[in-house]
Amino acid sequence: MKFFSLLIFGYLMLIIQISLVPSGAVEGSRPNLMLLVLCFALFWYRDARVFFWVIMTGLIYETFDAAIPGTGILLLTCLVWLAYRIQLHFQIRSLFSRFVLMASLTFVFDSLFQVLNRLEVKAFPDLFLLTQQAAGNALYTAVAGLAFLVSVKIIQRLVPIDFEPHLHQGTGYESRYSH
Amino acid sequence: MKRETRSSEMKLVLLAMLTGIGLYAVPSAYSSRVYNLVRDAARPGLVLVQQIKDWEFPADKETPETSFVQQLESKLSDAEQENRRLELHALQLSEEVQRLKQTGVPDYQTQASERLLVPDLIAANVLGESSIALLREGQLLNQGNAQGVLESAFVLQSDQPLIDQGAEQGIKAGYSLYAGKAVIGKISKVGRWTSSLIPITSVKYRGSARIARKTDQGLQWGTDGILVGMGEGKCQLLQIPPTESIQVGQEVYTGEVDRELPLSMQSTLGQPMYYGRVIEAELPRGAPYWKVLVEPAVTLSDVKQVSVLRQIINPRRMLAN
Repeated sequence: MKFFSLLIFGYLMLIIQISLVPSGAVEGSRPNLMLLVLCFALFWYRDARVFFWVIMTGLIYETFDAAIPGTGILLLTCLVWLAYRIQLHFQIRSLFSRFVLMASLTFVFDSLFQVLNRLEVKAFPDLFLLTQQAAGNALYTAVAGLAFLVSVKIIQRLVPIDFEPHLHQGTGYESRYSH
Repeated sequence: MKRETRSSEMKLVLLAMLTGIGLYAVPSAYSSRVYNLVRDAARPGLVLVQQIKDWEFPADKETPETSFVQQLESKLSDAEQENRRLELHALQLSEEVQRLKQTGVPDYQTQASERLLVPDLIAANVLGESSIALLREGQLLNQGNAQGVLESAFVLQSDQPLIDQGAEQGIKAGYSLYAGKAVIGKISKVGRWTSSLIPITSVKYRGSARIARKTDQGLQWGTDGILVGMGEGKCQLLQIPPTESIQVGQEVYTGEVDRELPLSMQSTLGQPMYYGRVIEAELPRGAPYWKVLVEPAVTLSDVKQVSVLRQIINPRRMLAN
């Protein structure tokens, strides 16, 4: 159920990213909706199945950005592994910490992915501009993600459906203080 | 339980890493198959969005008057094209008769044979501003402008007009582009999926050209000159000596040999292609050449589909071997 929900959500985000997001650019920055899907998979699964979504997202980035094959997947695997360990260790749950995680992940991925793919064509961009653009994209992505998380929470409050048993089925955090 | 989770985590990380390394290591022909699958999967959704956009902003409807005028213009253009075709055919036949008068007709019947090199026209669509914008926007990450000519997933980063055929379809820089029998321009830079082109009105365009004079005996070819673009929708015909008789309204065709192109890229169509009509002709006193302005028959904005001319080895000859 989670898999198919995320699959449909991911497809929807991909179509929006390609067709609608370019017209919604603010000061040249765009949200990276596919990374948002990956972050949601990370928050929702809370287990290693997120790496399946890493492969999917990496493939999509490589396809639509004509990147060097494999770079998207390798980079995302490293970054998401780190994010996954951070999430498990600090038991990230609050909106603020998720916002920070989304922004950091997007910023690092955006910058490194561009640097990696420019190295091959020897058209290395100005580092300051690159950082500025990556920061803009990261902020936009994190804000979009936060808006989405808040709207999900509001809907959960308004609609009397209990998602919690499904959300925590075997994937909840362990108490750090129980022995 | 915890150990199992850690083990599955390591397995999946390893799988993701191996997938990345595998994609990097395999030949691009195989990795591009995977990417094509992703593109194909996204296509239905994109088509749906495009349909919704078209449904929201339908194209302006034509009034009956404008469609009637368009019909008449189209008929006139067809008649002019047919006229030009017949004139050229008559010219070719008269040249053939002239040759036979000089050499004489052989006593035995000559068997017709297949040519080794034959022209091959590839249909290509001119990418409009909106298409280019749409394809460029197709990038997921906003990677900004690159230095030099790069190709994104679909589009060559170039300020020149683009067509939707590239190196994958055997296009090479210098190949001529036609719309019907009219010359549109030539290929400038070739990307994997798209190619940029130099329209004949561009100041970067140079091509061999000659004027066809209408006489009582039919069309007659003038001396070969060089057609260069002037920008602003006009061209200039250079190096036409004062001994030539030039008049406004005369038609300009491609020359016999394009001096701007290597021999391997010369047109193999075996017939001249149409550039346009002389709109201004002046021979300043003491000048070594005519000053001739030419209005192109077709401009790039008039056409959506063009043909790229390349030459290939006759497949029938290949089969015969």
